[in-house]
Formats: sequence, C-alpha cells, structure tokens
Amino acid sequence: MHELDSLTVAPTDWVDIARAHKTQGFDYLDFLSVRELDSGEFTLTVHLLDPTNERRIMLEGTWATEDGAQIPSLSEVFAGARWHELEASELFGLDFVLPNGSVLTSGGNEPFIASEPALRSDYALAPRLDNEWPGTNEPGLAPDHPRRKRKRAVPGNPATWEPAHD
Amino acid sequence: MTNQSSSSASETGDVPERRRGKIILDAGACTSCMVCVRECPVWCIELDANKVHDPDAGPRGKSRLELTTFKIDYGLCMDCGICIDVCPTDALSWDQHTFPGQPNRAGFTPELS
Ligand code: SF4
Ligand code: SF4
Repeated sequence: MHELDSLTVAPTDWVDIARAHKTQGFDYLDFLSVRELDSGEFTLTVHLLDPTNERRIMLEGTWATEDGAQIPSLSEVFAGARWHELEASELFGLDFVLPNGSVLTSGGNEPFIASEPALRSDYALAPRLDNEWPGTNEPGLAPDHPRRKRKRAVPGNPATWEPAHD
Repeated sequence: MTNQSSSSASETGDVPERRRGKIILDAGACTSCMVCVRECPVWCIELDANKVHDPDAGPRGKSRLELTTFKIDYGLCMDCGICIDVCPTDALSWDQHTFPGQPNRAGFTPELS
C-alpha cells in the first residue's frame, strides 16, 4: 500500500471531488469520520482505497455548522457513506443533505444510534462527572500529606462541564 | 488491504501476532508512577501502593512503593493501548488472548498486581 496522501477539499467541491476519485479507481470507501475543531468547525475525513493499484487517499473538508451550513451527502457516489453519515449526524449533530434535498435521518421515529450528539465536546459525559477520577490517588502518601490536597485538573474534562466533585 | 494482522495469523496458528487481546502487567517492573492511570481515557485502571522500606538500601534506608492493587476493568477498556505506550518502565504489554467472558460485571476487573 502506498503512502497516504491527504487532500483538502472545498465544501462546495465535496461530492464532485469524491466522484472524481471514484472514477480514477478509488472506488472503495473505507470510512468517513468527523473531528470537532477548537474553532467549533467540523472536519469530515473520508478514506478511499484503490484496491487494484494499492493506493489510498484521505479527503478532508471543513464546515462551520453554526452558520447553518449543511453538508452534502456522499451517498450518491458511495452508497455505504450513508451509514457513516448517519453516525456523524446523530453523534455530532450535523445535517447531511441528500441529493433530493432532504436531510439524512434514520428514517424511523427514533434515532438509530444516539438521541443526543454525544461526541461533541460540549456534551458532558456522565461517567466522567459521576465517578471520581482514579488519577487523584497518590500511592504511598499519607492521607494527610499536603500533596494530596493539591488539586489535579482532570484531563479531557472541559471547564464548561459541571463538576461533580469539589 | 489495511488489515496487517491477517498475514501473521497463519504464523502463530490461532491468533494474529499483533492482536490486542488483553493487557498484562509485569508487577515487578511497575513503579506505581500512576502515569497509565492518569492517561487512560476511560478511567478503567485502578492502582494503589504502600510505601515500604528497602532493608538492602544501606544505613539510611530507602523507601519504595509496593503495589497493593492494580486492576484494569476489561468491561470498560477499549484496547486503545495508550497505557502501554506511556508506561515509562514497559511494565504493561499486550497479550494476544482476550479476557474471557464473565458471569458478572465484577469479574471483568481482575487484580493484576
Ligand atoms: S488500553 Fe486504553 S482503555 Fe484500556 S486500560 Fe489501557 S489506556 Fe485504558
Ligand atoms: S505507567 Fe507503568 S510503571 Fe507507571 S503505574 Fe502504570 S504500569 Fe506502573
């Protein structure tokens, strides 16, 4: 397998660039994934494989969702993209627009994967608030040792999450 | 294709060589530094240790930490391997074999120390 190239794609070219790559032999959609940036934007990553020539490429496009921007679905190019987009839509609260103009949903009354965008950074993870972080332990220190009083920041818990312990 | 482990499956028979089965601890190498506990993204490692005096360390003595508890909750562990990567003494490593199924939730948190 060749080196992994990555290509930044303008949102308006998202579907066209994916289609162009499919025509060039990248006809296997490996995965589609989402990353939330510090800026509040979302970067979509699509990993495409060309099994015949053992090539692969990563397409990346970035959308700012607070403007109400909607992401065009890749399902007209890769039917399998639909499942990944449904995951992305339910777990990150993103809208994917199908070729007929409607927004991708699970099709049923209930969400298929998650009812809330649990992978967004502002979504507080209950187990991280309900449980004490095991990293606060200071093995070998007496219970009244001053270093035990030092408060350690719990890694990965944004300050916006309500603290469960003080 | 992207699955590198499929080729090595035949070399070892049952399980691929680089398979992430379960994590094993070399308790003798562990210094109770807590790095793995603090880096684990799902908080599934629990560690405690006692301070003990090392009688061989000369007249002034020297203390070291002796593990009393080292548990990984395999019901929560997502096999990310971060704990293994960050351990400064290489006390943690992969075992190819997965942790076996258990009749109850508590069974997934064995004592490794
Ligand atoms: S493999 Fe990952 S989830 Fe499992 S114990 Fe190690 S750091 Fe935690
Ligand atoms: S990082 Fe390694 S040495 Fe430190 S507590 Fe964990 S297993 Fe022990």
